[in-house]
Amino acid sequence: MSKQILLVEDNASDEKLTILAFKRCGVSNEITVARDGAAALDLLFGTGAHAGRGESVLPSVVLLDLKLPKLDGLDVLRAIRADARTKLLPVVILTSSAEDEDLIKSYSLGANAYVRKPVDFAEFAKAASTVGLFWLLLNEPAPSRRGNP
Amino acid sequence: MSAFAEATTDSQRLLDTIAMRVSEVIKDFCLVLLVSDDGERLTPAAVFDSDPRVCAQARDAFSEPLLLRTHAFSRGVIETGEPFFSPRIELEERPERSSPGYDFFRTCGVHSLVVVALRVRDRIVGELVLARFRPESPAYDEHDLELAQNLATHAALAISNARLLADARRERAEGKRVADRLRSLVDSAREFSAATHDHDVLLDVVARRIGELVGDFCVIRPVTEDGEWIEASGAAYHRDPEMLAATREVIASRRQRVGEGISGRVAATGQALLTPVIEPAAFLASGEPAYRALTERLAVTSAITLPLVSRGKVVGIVNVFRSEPGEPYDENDLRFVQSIADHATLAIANARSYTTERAARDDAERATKALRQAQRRFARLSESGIIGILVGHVTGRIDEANDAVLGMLGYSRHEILSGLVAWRELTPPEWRDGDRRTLEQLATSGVSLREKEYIRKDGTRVAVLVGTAMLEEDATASISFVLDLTARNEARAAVAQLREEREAHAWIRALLESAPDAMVIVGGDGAIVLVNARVEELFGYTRAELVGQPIEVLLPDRFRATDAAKRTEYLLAAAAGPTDAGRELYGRRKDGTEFPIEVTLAHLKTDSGVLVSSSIRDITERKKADQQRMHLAAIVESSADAIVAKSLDGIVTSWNRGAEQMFGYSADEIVGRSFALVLPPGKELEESRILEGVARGETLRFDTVRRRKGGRAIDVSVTVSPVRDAAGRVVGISKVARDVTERRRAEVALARAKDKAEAASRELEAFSYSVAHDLRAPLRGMNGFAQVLLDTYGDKFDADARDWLLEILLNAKKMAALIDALLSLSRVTRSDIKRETVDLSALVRAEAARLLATEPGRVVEVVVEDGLCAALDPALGRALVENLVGNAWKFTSKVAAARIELGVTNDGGSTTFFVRDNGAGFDMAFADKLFAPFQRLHTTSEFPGTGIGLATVQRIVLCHGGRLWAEGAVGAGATFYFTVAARSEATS
Repeated sequence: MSKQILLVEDNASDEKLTILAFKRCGVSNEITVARDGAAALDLLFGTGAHAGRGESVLPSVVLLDLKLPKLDGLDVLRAIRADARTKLLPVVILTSSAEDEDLIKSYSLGANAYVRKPVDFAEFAKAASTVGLFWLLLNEPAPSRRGNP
Repeated sequence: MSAFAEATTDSQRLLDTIAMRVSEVIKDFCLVLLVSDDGERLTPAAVFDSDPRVCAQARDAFSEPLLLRTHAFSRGVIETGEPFFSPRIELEERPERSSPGYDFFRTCGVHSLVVVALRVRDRIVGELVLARFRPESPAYDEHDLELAQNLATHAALAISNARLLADARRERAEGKRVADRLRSLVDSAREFSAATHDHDVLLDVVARRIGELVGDFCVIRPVTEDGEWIEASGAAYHRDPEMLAATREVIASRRQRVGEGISGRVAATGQALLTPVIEPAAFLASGEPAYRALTERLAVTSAITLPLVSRGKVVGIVNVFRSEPGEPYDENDLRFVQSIADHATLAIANARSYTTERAARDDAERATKALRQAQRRFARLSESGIIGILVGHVTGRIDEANDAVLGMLGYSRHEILSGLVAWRELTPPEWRDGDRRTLEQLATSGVSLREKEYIRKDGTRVAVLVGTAMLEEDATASISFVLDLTARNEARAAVAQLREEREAHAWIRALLESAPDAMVIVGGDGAIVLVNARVEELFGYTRAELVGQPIEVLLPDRFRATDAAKRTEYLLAAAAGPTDAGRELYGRRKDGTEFPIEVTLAHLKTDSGVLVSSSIRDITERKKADQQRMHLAAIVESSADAIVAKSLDGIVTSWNRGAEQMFGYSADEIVGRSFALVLPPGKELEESRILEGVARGETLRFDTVRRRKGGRAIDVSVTVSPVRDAAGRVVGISKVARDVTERRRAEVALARAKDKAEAASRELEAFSYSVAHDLRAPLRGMNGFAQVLLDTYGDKFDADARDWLLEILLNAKKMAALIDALLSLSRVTRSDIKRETVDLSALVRAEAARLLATEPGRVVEVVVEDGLCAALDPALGRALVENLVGNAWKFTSKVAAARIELGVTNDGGSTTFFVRDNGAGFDMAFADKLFAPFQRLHTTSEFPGTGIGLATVQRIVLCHGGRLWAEGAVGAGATFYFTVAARSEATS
């Protein structure tokens, strides 16, 4: 069972830095990148460009930015939690917003964690690795998850 | 006798008393019979006998009225007035004379009988029957008869008085007065009875009584026994002793012949004369020259002349005169005087009967004497000229006519006696039927008396009283006396007129007193004649002070005219035209104060000349009210608001200038028309709702739209209230409208600005959000890649290159900090404040601990007062504490023994918190720059910072309605004070 990571990020710099940060702390799992909200959902549900790909390739964790083209992060989260297949999929919000409102909305929609991207890369790398390690290595996936019999 | 007088108030008791008294005095049996109203019956009224059984029998026998014509001796008494005197009588049993009464007398064995008439003046009201039947009783004698007659006169008077009283009770209006007078009569009767034996004293008493009771002065003179003279002596009464003396002197100066002058004539005819109004001049002319001086002095205005008649004979004359201003005498006065006189007459007759001889008892002598007297009297009468005498023949010829008749008819003696004028022709056609009846009457009864008219020679008519008797010696001739009734008729008319006038007077007086205005009646000479009570009230004078004074006493000096004409002219002008300001009339009170008046004049034409009646009204209050009204009207008129009055059906009744300007209609255009004129289409229902609401008494305030003349709509704010009358009924509508078009425009502009501001605010929020996200991302990139470059290839750079890379990292971090600070500042303004009780002490301790954790090397003494709480938004409260404590932490970083303190002072009752440090402090000269964003008092190299922290603190404090200030000195630390308003203040 490959422990895939789905990174939903529209900013190329942040994408690179996030991948760098994971690498720094030894996370070598495959990282799939979706550059907008709609693409993320296509990837998860095998729709659109990913139609016919099958359903078994759900990531172990989704790192989701909030400010995204097309569908924003909160809409993506809502869609994930609304679908039985992805209802229990761990979603970590990774965003530059420090707004209380965003934080509250994210948790109330069922986010598993909320990480503010620090400007300082060292801190960022630390935060990313902590979150990544937790969800990829330490956290036991939910037992009833479909596609993982 | 006084027993009768006292019993006058109860008729039956009186009659019983009479029967009993007479029976006691004259014995044995007494019966009182009264003549019925129709004169045909005698009604038994009372009986008395010492034996009750006889009384009972008599009552049975006399239970029914007796028919006069069947009772011979009673009829004789009633018809002639002469007594029936039968000292010895024996009643036989005669079936044709049988009646219960007759049988009663017969069976009880009457042997002596006297019947005397009950006579009041010349009227016979009944009879007294006296009978003796006891065997031991002697027969009646002459003395008994005289006594009986005397008692009968008293009894008759008492009966008459009782009737008068009964009449009086029926006449409610006159009741009290008559009752009073009757009481006086009773008193008088008593007094007279007591004085009976002294003739002169008695007359004085009578004169005084009359003078006092009727006023104003009274003279009583006896008539000589032979009836020819009124004696030059007698009694008089006048309140004024001087007048009395003068009157006595005149009386004593000469005796008056019967038939001459007023008194003489009254003595001759035996008829009382009432002269209600006496024209002084006429009175003087007709009176005796000897009396003129006195008459003049006494100023007689009204008179009563009355004969004292005793048993059909005039025994004296009473003169009653009004000599002071007062009401003329009337019939009531006459009757009253007569009643007193009747009592007096009785007393006089009684007194006289002691002194006159009884010789006249000889019938023959008396008859001769009487005949002589009659002849003499006739001759004198004829000569006197008071009464006309005519002797006519059945053929129509006039045989005899005296001067009086000639004067009355306007013919000369020659014209009459020559046979040129027949007496029949003297009578106007409409009276000739009556003449025929008179002739028939003459033929049967021998006498006649009637009122008629004669035609005078000049064709005019004269009213006369004609008494005619056939001459006994010549059945074809008759003698008539003719009395000119002109004077009497005039007197009657005068009395009627006087009564009318008196009623009118009473009316006018009542009217005058009840008038709401002060009424002053002024004579032609400008003197006040009459004022009412309101005048006294208004001007402070009493009536007595005003009457007779010129009208000017009621006016200020400047209005006083010098002559009557000018005054009248002035008063008329004042009354006629509307008083313009310069010509207002003022009244002057007794105390000299003036007040505005309004005068209405009216002319009264009376017999005594033109009177001016002025009705004066004090208009002080009205003027005040007028002024007030003018003030109010001016206020209404000058108001920029439209003030409109409407009737309940919406018709405009007043329209001020404000309304003209607001709606464009002039008052002339709209008053009288419907208010609907200014309603825009579709507002009709609103108007009818307003009308209904106001009619119910509601006051309505609302904003609406109205239409100006020309159609432009205007926004108005309207207050509509009911107008009530004095009784509280809603009678109209007042409406105040304000043009709020401008205000409405401003409101719209404001709303737009607000919308704009809100839109801007929303934009700002979006901007802030994007700042947070989008500005940070590039920084992260800069910082991140610089860090990666340094980490990965650091060993390939020399020291300078590494330093520069570190600069990039540092600047990116600084910019991130700036952005965060800006965001937090903007968050303060954007967020809604939700107050809760925030524990400041705990927050400070927690923040200090957090800071200590970031810089474990620092040694800072943190002094926090326990339990300091404030009502703050929890998030903003935290930000406040973080910034203040962070500030203190930063500026104490270079102090060895740093100290940060949280405390509270109670400054003027409001709680002031403070955060104090012993750090770098600041120069108070720059205190105002402390809280401005991006303002810093230190270089970043000394103390790093964004210059946003204290600006954020200030914004938070302001948002909570509090105040923030700082004290400090360079190197001596700083103290930041802040207050937090109570919830209510902050939310407002």
